[in-house]
Amino acid sequence: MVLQQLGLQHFLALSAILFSVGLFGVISRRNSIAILLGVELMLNAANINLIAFQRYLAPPAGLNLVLDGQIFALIVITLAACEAAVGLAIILNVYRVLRTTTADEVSLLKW
Amino acid sequence: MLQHLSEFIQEYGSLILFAGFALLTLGAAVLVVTARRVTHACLSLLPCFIGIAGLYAVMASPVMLAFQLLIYAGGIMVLMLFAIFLLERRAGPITAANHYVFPAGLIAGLTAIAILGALQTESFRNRELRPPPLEMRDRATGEESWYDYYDPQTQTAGEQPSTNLRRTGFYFLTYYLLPFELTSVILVVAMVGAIVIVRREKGWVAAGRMPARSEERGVRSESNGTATAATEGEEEL
Repeated sequence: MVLQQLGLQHFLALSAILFSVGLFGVISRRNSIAILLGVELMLNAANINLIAFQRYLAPPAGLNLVLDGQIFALIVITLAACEAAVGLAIILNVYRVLRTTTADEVSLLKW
Repeated sequence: MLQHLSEFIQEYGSLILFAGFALLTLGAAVLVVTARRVTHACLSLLPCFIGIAGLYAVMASPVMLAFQLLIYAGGIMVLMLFAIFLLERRAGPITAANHYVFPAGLIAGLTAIAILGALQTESFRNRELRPPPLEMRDRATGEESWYDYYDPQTQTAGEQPSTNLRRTGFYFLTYYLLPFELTSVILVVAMVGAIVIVRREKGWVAAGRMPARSEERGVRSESNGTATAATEGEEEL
């Protein structure tokens, strides 16, 4: 398995592990900013998948010319930038009002 | 000897590169989710993103390499670091303990096992997965073509831009024009939204909508009556 030609499986396995590490961070972190860092890892894992599928499974085998995966990945990167900007703005505002960045303590909307 | 070496590199070069970048990425990712100081977690994003950019290079996608470094390492990480420093100036060093470590590890581990198991299934393994050859051939004539644009309608190579970056721009402004424009609209909305959210509204807290904090705020503004300007500047988080 390991000493074979580099292929789709390697990248998919790596991205699965990276996604799980990010998921672990999102679930177990208490600080809001640290949760955002975990989300970034998960988005990156998805991007690796998109590029790997484009590289090894693009429809006309032999013509690596369809760039769907790359286009998708670029859009995902843009949306990640939006998410980071809005998320950090919300966290700054929450700190301004509640004096905390710990996600558990922000329970104003919890009944 | 030298020939053996070059053969070895030709055989396993991309595999070695993949292993190196994968180790860099995963090691840094583990640091990101376990470091105690949030600043350190954010800084370990940098080697993680660099490793992923290297993986894009292994996958022959220079455009993604450039944008990964520009936007993720140069933009998003710096933005996060900026926010963390802004908060730490007020709140002191922000430490982030992990809680629910066991259930979180269980869920993440099960997810990884499920995906890795799916990769081992017969239908997935038996699929013929060849990396496409790097040289481009014209479908119609079978000859090598400088024009490596693929036209989905006629299924031939056409006379179109020939590098990865140029092709990406070409696709963005032709087949993918609508997603491109929608993304730009979302980007504008997100930026305006971020500015509106962060903008300081004067008197909102002091008006008493947040009882727990308004008392503390009231006391401080009375005792610091003469130094209002300094306090205001400090409050401007």
